[in-house]
Amino acid sequence: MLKNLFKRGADASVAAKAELTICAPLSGRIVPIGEVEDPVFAQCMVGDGIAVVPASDCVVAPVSGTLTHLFPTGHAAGITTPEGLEVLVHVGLDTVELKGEGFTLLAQQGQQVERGTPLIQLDLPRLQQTARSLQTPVIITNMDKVDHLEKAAGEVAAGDWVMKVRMKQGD
Amino acid sequence: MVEKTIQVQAESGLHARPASLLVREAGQFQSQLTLTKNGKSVDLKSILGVMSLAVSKGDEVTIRAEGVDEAEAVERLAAMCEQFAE
Repeated sequence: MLKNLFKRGADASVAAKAELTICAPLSGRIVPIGEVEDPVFAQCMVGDGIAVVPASDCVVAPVSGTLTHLFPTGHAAGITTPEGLEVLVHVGLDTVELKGEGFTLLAQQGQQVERGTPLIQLDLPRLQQTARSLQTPVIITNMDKVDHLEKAAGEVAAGDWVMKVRMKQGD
Repeated sequence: MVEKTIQVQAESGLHARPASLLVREAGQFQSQLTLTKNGKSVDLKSILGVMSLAVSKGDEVTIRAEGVDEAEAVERLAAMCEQFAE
């Protein structure tokens, strides 16, 4: 009987280590995080991840979970997954300075979202004029929960995988 | 428990850059740390948490610490918040 208990424990830990896939919030070209034109992101101070140069104009949820954070100016969104992973999408660099111009919110902070749920509508022609850069970092902000991270490269369509995450075992 | 209320001076509030600096500093302390604005409290060791408060320039926030290094934590983090002036 004890043996069975142990066996069940082992199965549970395998399940806890399941991979989580993070999808592209936009279509476009992937830029390695180290090449992002802002040291806060390039030096992984916010966390690790990738960036996308937007070729589409609707930001969708990269993972399913709670929309923990949707900045009122519409340039950043953060989602916490049921596993406890925090994923931040930051549209463009220094875009907090645009004070919301060129961004339309399509969701509300605190709501549940599914992967692919539209979050922010972008006025791309306008932002291409006003934003210093449109490189859009997609970042895991609590890397302490991550055991292994695999990243995609090249061109992606919104919804394609960009990162595969293996979580550390829960405590 | 130690707490201190300060006014944020950073031009863009506690967004990506200042938030990540603050959270990284917070991670050095063992104490439980929270940041409160308008009655809403978040974990000061979570970037997403801090950013979700959408702290703007001029907002008053309270830093609260509970643990072995609470006094030092509040002092250092409050000083950081007051210094940000991008």
